[in-house]
Amino acid sequence: MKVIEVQNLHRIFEDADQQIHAVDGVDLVINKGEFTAIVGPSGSGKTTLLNMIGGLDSPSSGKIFVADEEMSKLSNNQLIDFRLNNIGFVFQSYNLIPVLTAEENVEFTMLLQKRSKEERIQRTKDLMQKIGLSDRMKNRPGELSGGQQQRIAVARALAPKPRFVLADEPTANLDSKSTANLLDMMAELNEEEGVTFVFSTHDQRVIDRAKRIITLEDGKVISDEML
Amino acid sequence: MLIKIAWRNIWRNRTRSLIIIIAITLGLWAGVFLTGFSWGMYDARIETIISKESSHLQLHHKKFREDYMAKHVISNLSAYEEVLNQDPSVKSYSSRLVVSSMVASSRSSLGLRVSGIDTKAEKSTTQLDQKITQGVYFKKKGRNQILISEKTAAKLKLGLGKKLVLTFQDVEGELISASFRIVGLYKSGNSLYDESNAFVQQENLAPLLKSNGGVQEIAVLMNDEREMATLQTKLKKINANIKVENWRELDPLMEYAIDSFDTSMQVVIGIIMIALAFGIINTMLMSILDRVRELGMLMAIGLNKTKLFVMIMLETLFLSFIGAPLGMLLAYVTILLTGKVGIELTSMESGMEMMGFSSTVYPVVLPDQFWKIGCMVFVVTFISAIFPIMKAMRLDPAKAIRKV
Repeated sequence: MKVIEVQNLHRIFEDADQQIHAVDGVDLVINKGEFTAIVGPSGSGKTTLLNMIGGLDSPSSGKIFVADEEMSKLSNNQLIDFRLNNIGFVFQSYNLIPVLTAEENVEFTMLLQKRSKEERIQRTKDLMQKIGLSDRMKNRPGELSGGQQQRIAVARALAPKPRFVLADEPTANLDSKSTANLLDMMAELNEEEGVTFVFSTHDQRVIDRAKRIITLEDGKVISDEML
Repeated sequence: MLIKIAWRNIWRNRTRSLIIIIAITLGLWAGVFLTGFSWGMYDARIETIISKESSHLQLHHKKFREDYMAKHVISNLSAYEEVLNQDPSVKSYSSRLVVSSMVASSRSSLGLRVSGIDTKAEKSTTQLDQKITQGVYFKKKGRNQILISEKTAAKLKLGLGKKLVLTFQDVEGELISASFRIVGLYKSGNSLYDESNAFVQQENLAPLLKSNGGVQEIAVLMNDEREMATLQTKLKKINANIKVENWRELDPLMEYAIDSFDTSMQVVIGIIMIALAFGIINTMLMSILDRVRELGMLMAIGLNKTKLFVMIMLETLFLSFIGAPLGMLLAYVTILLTGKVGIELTSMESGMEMMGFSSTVYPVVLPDQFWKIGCMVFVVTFISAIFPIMKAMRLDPAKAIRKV
């Protein structure tokens, strides 16, 4: 089942007297349950592609469909709602609200969705258990390690039951042990719960765990391997 | 949750938040205290005008205050006395003979307004007896006694027991001279008043003036100023040739000062609010610039612009909710304390006396000023927060997340 479909996507940035084709005619389809890594050197267009799929940036031309919804037709406010209900985000850093506890951070997006208190409490509890941090629910991000924060970020991304999770360099600031723990958790969620993950990454450890690798160079897909 | 986030956010940088809270507290305190202080000055001056100078109402012939000629008398005095004696709102009244006189000693001369007073009535109407600093408030025996101010005595180079000569026009326009002996010196606290007025007994001035029972002035002191308009209307109906004026009409400068009090205070408070606004804008801008990546993340995960607006506005309002009541409390306590003991402005005593103000100021609590200024603080806070919030709302989430 298609979750993401991208058709002839272009993104051009105007820079002084030249145009930069950050994404140059990308076509791809990502299906439910995939564990996909988008890789490439710096400047290859990975982040730009991810931002457009996540509705954080608009394409210069081309189409993006998320679950049959064409994103370019949505207004800014509709995009915000769409992201809230359909897309989970894990960023490289600054994922969590520093003044909220781990539990409150996970609950936050469900509050924005106006889910009931009982549902929020139960889902938060379940997710914290899944990521193995039930004992850290009352801690604030400042009291947690980088790896723990990223695991809570994953839980927060999954809380609103999105169609897929976009993770932009999620392991960039982590040590190898934390990276391994995080990837184990994400792989488990992918295999057992069918959560779709799309990574943008340089990290070989992530690439090694991916089931599909899409390689970008100069804004174009140069290879697309199913492993 | 937004309330929780906003409340906790303001304590992320305690120093910055405390600085702005203190600024709001001091701004509000300054505005309210200044208003209370200024009104305390005016309040005391009004009290003095009414109780010791012009009283609530004065009656004159309609032409008297144009040229101050003695011939312009209130001839049907008994009609007014009847009304004043029966009206329960009248505390006391004093009928006066008034002449513009040249006052001369062997060394100097000057012009004065000389009032021929009913000594008993004058005591209860203007408390003239309490202003005596040397000598007595008229001796029981002795003709042609006069009370002059300390300032007048110094100018004439005269003291107690000395004689001076009054020269004035009687009701027929004839020039009259008579000598009077100084039995008392007074000081009212109002230099202008002191330099303009002298007092003699009515029974000594009346035959010289040939006033035949008429008087040039009646001063009326009331129990309650709220009844003033009613009595004024009543007295006006007795005789159309007699002008009945209240203290505001008698002192247009003071009336103007009181009427413009609100305007001048608003200007001062406006300046305080502008300074406060800049402080808030600066603080909130810094707070937002410190959190660009976090705000980008929030917008990315689904916080819409309305909720972003509400969150940051709540942060700003919380700062006011803490600072404003503290400022009000501080103002209330300081006004209460200084209102009891007074604030001495001895260094400005002579200047203030020239304008008729006491050098000791007793600030007063003005309840409506608290709420007015408190509301202004909230409005200013709200408006000041808009620019920083607009900056936050214009952030591009994708760029904000990647900001170094």
